[in-house]
Amino acid sequence: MSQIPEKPVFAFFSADMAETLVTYFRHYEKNGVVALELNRLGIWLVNPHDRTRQFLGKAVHDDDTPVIPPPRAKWM
Amino acid sequence: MDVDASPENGHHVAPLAVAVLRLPEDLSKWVLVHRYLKLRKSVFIDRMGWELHASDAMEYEQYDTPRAVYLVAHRDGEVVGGARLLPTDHRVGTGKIVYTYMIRDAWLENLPGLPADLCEVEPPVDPLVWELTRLTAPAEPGIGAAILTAANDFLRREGARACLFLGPPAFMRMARSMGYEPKPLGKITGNHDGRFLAFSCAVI
Repeated sequence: MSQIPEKPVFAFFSADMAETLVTYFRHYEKNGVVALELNRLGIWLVNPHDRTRQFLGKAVHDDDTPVIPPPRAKWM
Repeated sequence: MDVDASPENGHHVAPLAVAVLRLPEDLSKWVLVHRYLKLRKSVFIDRMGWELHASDAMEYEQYDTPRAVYLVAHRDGEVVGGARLLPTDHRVGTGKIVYTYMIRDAWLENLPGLPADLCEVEPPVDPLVWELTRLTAPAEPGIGAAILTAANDFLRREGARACLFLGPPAFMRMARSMGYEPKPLGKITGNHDGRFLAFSCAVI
């Protein structure tokens, strides 16, 4: 069951992220509902069967929104 | 698609197979990707101590998108290695945060941990050129080669003409020993994790 935080949480979507969500919705829905994960890297589709994640993207609304860099990338 | 990659099948060891998995058609077999992401967490975070994101015992990052194709080496479902493929025209985002693929994002200075001089020229944006990353095959020799062979077979079926890699110099030597003709994209560089270089191999 999802938790409702006391403070509002904002999810920022760009058009391509919304289009990807629509494209894959039927593959990720469970009882007509899709789960999304929000973390410092961005927004993720959550597979209802095995909880694997696929990256939807990361968008920011304006220049005032802090941008958290992704973790250090590795070669492998 | 499952490719039997076992040269010799022992009596007590299930044959090695490399599954090629993509969304949405292989969603029913995604348990193998689940186990591969767990293996990545075990190898890269638990064993090697890399500071990567993990949740639910899986390691995943911004390049694990619905367009990624996974090569998962397994023995009767027990995952022993894997890798991830992305076409180099991959792009996520339209605003100020855009991710493409690892080598290009490093070149664009969008990845703080990787030097921008990995490549001497701008990395391609081409649906016929792919990138292979997150190769892991920790358990036994031969698995990495089986994964690369499965990758080459898949890319040939896709009509691809080349694949880009990012790894230590030994990785390029392994590719050469398998009959490929790797071409460095830049000089050998590195950070505190070791020495590495980007290189390209034609699909054969």
